[in-house]
Amino acid sequence: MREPPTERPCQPGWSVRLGVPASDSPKALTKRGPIVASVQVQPHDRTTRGPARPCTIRLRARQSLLRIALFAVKKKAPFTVVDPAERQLITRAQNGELAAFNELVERYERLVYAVSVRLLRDHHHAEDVTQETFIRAYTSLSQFSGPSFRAWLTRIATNRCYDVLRGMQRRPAQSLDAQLVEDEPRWSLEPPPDDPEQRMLHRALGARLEVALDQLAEDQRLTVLLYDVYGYDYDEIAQIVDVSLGTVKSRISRGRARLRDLLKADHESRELFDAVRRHISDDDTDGERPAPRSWKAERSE
Amino acid sequence: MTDRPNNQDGGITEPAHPSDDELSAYLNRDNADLAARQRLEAHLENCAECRDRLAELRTVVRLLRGFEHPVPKRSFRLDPSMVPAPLPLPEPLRIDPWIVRVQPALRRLTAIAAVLLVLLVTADILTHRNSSDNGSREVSALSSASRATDGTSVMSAGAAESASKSTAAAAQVPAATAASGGGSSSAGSSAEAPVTSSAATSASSEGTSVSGSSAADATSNEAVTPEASAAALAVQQTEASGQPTAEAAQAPNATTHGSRSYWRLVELGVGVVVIWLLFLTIVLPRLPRQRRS
Repeated sequence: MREPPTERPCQPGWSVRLGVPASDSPKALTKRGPIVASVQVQPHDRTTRGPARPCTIRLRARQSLLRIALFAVKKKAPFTVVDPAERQLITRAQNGELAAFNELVERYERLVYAVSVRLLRDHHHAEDVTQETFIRAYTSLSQFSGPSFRAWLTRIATNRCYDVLRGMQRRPAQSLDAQLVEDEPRWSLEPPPDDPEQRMLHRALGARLEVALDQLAEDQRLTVLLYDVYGYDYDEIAQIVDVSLGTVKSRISRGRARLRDLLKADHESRELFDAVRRHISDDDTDGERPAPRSWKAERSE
Repeated sequence: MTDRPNNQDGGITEPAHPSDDELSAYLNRDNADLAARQRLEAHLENCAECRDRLAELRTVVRLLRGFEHPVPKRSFRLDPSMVPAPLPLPEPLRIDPWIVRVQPALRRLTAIAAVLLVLLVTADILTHRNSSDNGSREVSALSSASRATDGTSVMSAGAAESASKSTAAAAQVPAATAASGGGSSSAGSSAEAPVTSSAATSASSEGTSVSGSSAADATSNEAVTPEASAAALAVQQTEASGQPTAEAAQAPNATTHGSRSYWRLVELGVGVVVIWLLFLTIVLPRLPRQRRS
């Protein structure tokens, strides 16, 4: 049963009208199926830049509602769909409400910390950077003008990480995987395979991939990390790294190709790589990346 | 899709293999259009080598997504001691407090002053419309009277000429004149020549009222149109009151001008007050913001 279209704000002056069942349940949104959404982009006034008239895009996707809108809108104009609840929290925090800001901290602390740990390879430094990031974000929240709050936070965090790395005068060579204690809680975008043997293979190849990542150029490494490891969008990465969308896409593609070549460089790695590749069967779940707002849900697991 | 050289087999050219960029975009579901995606899928169906390359890239992506991240051991929630006092929005600090405090009163005052101005202007218009009507009536009466006087002198000259030329026309009129006023002279009857019968009737009645006056007077009275006669009557009345005509016309105008200038002065004053209040209400609170930006 189709419900009347729901309207969601994206950037100021625009709203996205979603002609899909107004259900936010992950099960409904990730259900495999034919055309599930028609997105209409409606400018609030004529002065806003973007498509001259509302455009309706029908697409086949199994992504979350907001990501469908994001994908559709991205094709026509530079939009980022913003969670209205988050927008409300930001506004309240901008008015000096610390409790509202702490809700935002809860949403993103895990992500900011993970990025910091990945860049710094040191838990203590990463904790410091994460705390500093949130303090800086709170004190300069009036400067935030959107669209993506988490991209803004991540930009603060990565800048701070590079400052710390410059202060250390060296790049830590210790693998992050070696620092992860077995019994400590972890999270990832994709759960490990159920089969213990495959899980072991994945983990072994993952360690080699970590080493390969260190051999990438810094800009490629950061872009690949943000897109594939942490699930940021092109627009968000462009905002964090301050480059064009085309550059982001190019860096992702070249970074992946380089990682593949590095993994296939020696005989042992190649065998491992082929074993894992055979396991990862051909499926069409490639474009289905976790929704940006799924972090909190994962926290509670 | 020109990444690799085409395999040539028996002169038949195979479609070009997709580049790593295209395969990567395919994995991200980021192909520019549906047709390109369909072309790529069609190629993948027939090309095992490209399927392998895609599978390799997919493996890399899946491994990257499977990277595990540590969960922070502590919360990063902020408490008030960690952050400086929340920065309030800068606008209220920049604006002088008294402006903010008096804003509601200023707004009300502006509204009242604006209404007062409208009332004043309306009252001015209503009041001076009546007086200006009277004034214009007097002025028109004066002008028509002077016109009538000029007209009669011209007409009487013409009448003298016509009287000398045509005696037949003159012969018709004296009958009526003689019937009404027997004391009228021959000059009077000759002057009546161009006048119509109705005018003659009115002239005869006038002639009756001013029977003792001279022939020239009778001529002037007889030659005017009905409105001119009314104007002349007004002039006569003012003359009868013993004032000179020029003075009689100027006296009410002077009083009107005096009251009008008073009204204008009051309206101007209230207008200036309204403008100042508007400035205080609208422009002043925005000045600091503009300066800051």
